[in-house]
Amino acid sequence: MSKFGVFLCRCDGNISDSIDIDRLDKDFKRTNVVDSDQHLCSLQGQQKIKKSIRKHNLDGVVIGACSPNNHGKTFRGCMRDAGLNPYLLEITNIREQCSWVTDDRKSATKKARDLVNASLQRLEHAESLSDFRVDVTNATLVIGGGIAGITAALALAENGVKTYLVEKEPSIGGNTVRVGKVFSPHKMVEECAMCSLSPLMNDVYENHKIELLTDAEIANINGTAGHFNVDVKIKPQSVSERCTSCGECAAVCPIEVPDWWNANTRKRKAIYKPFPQAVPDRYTIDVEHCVKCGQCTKVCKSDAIVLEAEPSLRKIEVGAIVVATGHDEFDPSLRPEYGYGRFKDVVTQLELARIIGVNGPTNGELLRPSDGKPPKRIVMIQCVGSRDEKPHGLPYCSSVCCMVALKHANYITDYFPGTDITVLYTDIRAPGIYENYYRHVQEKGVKFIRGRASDVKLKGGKLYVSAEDTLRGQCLELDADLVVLSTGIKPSHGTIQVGETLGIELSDDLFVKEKHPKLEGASTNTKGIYVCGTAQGPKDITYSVLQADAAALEALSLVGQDYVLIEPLSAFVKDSCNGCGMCVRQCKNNAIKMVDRRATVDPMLCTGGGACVHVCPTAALDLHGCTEAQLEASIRGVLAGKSEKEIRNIAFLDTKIGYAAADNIGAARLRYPPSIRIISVPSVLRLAPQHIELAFQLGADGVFIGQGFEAESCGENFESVETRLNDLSKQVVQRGIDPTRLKIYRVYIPHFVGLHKRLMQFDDKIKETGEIEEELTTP
Amino acid sequence: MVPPEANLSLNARNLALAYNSGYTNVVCTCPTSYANLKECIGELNDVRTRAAINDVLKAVNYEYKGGVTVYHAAEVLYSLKEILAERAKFSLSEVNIATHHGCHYTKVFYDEVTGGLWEYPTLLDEICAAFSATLVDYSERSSCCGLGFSHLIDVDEYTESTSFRKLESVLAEEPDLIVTMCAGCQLILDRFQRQFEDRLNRVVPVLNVSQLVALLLGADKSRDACLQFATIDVAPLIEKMEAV
Repeated sequence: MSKFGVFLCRCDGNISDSIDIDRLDKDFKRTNVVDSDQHLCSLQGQQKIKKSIRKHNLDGVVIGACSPNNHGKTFRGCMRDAGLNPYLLEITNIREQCSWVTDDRKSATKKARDLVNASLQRLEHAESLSDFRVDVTNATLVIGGGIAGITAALALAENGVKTYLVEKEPSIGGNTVRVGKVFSPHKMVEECAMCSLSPLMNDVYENHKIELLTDAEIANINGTAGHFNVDVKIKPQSVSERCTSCGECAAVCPIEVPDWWNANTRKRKAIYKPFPQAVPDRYTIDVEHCVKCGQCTKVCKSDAIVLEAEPSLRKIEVGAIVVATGHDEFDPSLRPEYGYGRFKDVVTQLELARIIGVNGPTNGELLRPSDGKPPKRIVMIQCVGSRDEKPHGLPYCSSVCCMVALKHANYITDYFPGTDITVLYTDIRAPGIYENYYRHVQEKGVKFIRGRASDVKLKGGKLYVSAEDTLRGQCLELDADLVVLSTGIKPSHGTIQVGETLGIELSDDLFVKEKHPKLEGASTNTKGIYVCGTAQGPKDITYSVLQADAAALEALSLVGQDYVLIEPLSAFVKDSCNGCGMCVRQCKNNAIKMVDRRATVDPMLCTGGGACVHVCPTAALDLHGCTEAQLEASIRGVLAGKSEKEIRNIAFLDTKIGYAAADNIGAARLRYPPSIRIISVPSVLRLAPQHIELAFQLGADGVFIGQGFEAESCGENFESVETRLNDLSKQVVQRGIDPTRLKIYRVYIPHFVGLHKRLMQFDDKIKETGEIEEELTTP
Repeated sequence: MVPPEANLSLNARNLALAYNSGYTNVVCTCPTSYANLKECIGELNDVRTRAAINDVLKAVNYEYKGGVTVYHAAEVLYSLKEILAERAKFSLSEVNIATHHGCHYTKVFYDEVTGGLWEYPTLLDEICAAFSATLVDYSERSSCCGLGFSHLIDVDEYTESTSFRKLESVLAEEPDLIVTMCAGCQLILDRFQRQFEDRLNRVVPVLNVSQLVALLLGADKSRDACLQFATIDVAPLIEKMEAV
């Protein structure tokens, strides 16, 4: 028979004033080794525990003290020091859940005795577990070489971490290369984007800790936080590093295709250099359009061109990944009323950026595409595809288009005076100090009309924009020499693709979803994978760069460790698995995979909520730390010794939020009757109808389920948790349980008073209804 | 104008008739009927509405059970355009056409428009192009013909000014023909040209796409295509249609 130790803390009266510790000491001594101390958490108290474990060669320990949220770690350390597995410890919360909330000493002592007994019962089923150790690969992967990816890669490399920067285009730089100017609200002028970007790009090239893989895409990935294996697919490298960028090849190339780097406002050759400051600094062949005529190879003096180059596969190992795959522009031809594609002088803001860019198609002169004449009147249409709920539209605000329109309006007024500019807007969104910029542009005479344009027409060779001035209630028809569409921002094709390859969660709008919108804005729902820039949502360069640094810091804190220890509180599979795959579909964390027709849990990905346990038809799944046996023992334990007329209600609370809120109730010394008994579960999704049924069979009068809002629940969002709880409740009712005896409540930590109120109401109601009739058959 | 219950009951009866006859695909030549029938089907998908309307239909021994689809005739021509073009007796290769799609087709079930997008439908253009026509764009392409239903009765001014703007913009592009898919649009665009004769310096015939396709397939001009009802003479157009 196992020999257990029970250690009771007096907590300097916090516990012992309400609970008769001496009495409990005497009671438990009959079958266990018992000791108590004024402060078990003090060094002396810890010594006492350790000595006792060694002296009596204990098999397990129950500590009756404050909440495990306070000193759980300390006491597990004692176990380890004394040579006992830390998972053979049960902590009974006799302070927050007993002495601080119970009025009279007799009831408190009785409740404390019951709770310690329940812990002893649960301890019978405890298992020795060891932490999982994953050796961390001190390297990172940044996917996407735009301003966000470049920033993240530099931050990582400058901290000494080997970093792979993967970019699908032949040069890094991304959209920042194309925007030409960036807005600067402090100086009310536009700054050169390339002047900020180019030095960073050169830093990337020169940093020996960064390995740049251009023309490359992620083909496959497996592994877990700390160690990922990644396959990178690299397009044929037809131009080698011997290229001197002389440009003679492009001069003889007969193929012309639209140039993406110039927003298709000019043509480039099939062999080309994306832009003068490109990194890597060399020409490249667009294999899709190259006809392999061989003209370029004849003129190349450096012998740098290999027309028959093959694609290759590069295998890399990294500890963490930063996703910076950026955005695409909304396709304006999906709003045909604006005439994009039909009328040459309807352009997007990005195309306008190229037109006024000194390295663009007109060398910086403001000339319209149709006839190359300077436009006198420009109309800008905001929210093209943004804030648009019609088919193909983006329902959200693209967040930068207002500022982009203001930037171009300001620049044009400065450099091409006399140009008349009207902006048709829905709402101008110029948050924070950008408001100053907005006012500045207004004062310079740019006109702003609140109203969405209905269409753009060509009449007598001239463009007209129809719109309603919603502030004046007037319909307008504005003539324009150039119409500029402020198109929305949508997730790039690469973002959606990488999301799928990496198995990370995407938002409804298909951007990469951040783990927590306030607190963990650069983490994804997959451990070890971080996100920054417009891959995560529309944002300007300033915020992209800030988020990139945040993502890099997160990645650094992971790869900076030699190894990561993972608490082994994950699901595990028993021999009875028949490979049906139900659990694989259940797990939203993708932690369960089929290996040789058997479910296998990746403990690094499992968040230990236990939602999978009861979907298994052969009962082959269980959860370390809260096994079926342990959970059942807890239910039996808190109901044991119930007298005939006594009422007992079980409150299942999730560990992270529900239980913590209950601790707050104790800390605030709010009172509740001893009839309420709390059982902590990793997630309420761990609960199955049979657990609730068992509780009633063993004499529970009511069951309260409190699920923390935003609590980790096996990767499920709150809505789906709620749906599952409703299902659970329905199933329980089908099994003949009176629905009024079951209560599901949503817990917020700050509103612990609400939890207290609900618990009290529930307890009162059950007491009014009287004790539950014994109507259920025993299993 | 018509109470919703009456509208629903009447159309539930008609749809039930179609269902019972075994011809479960209803094709409308009128975009308003098309939109109204589709609206009714949507409403009748609601269990409670359907039960209430079926209560009404009991009096005439009908029951609406669903199972009927609604298309516009132009959609059918669109889906068959390649086959029809192969069988055509005439070609439009010398004909310039301006199209007008009609609001009740493009703006009610805007996400179900066949061919193009609701703000710039190309359904009629693609049918005409299949017979080698040249399509002309015009600035008021997406404007209403002017009929505006009750406007025609209540507000003459609205109808006249809208129609004039529309016709002025079409005629400026000098097409040989205006093609519509709506009897109302056709009527307005055809008749009002005479009314505005002194303000417009030329006229152009207006045909429904069904009439045009019939002519191209070799149908009789008056018995089948009813060209005698056109206000603007169609003869110059017929001359331009080349036999193949």
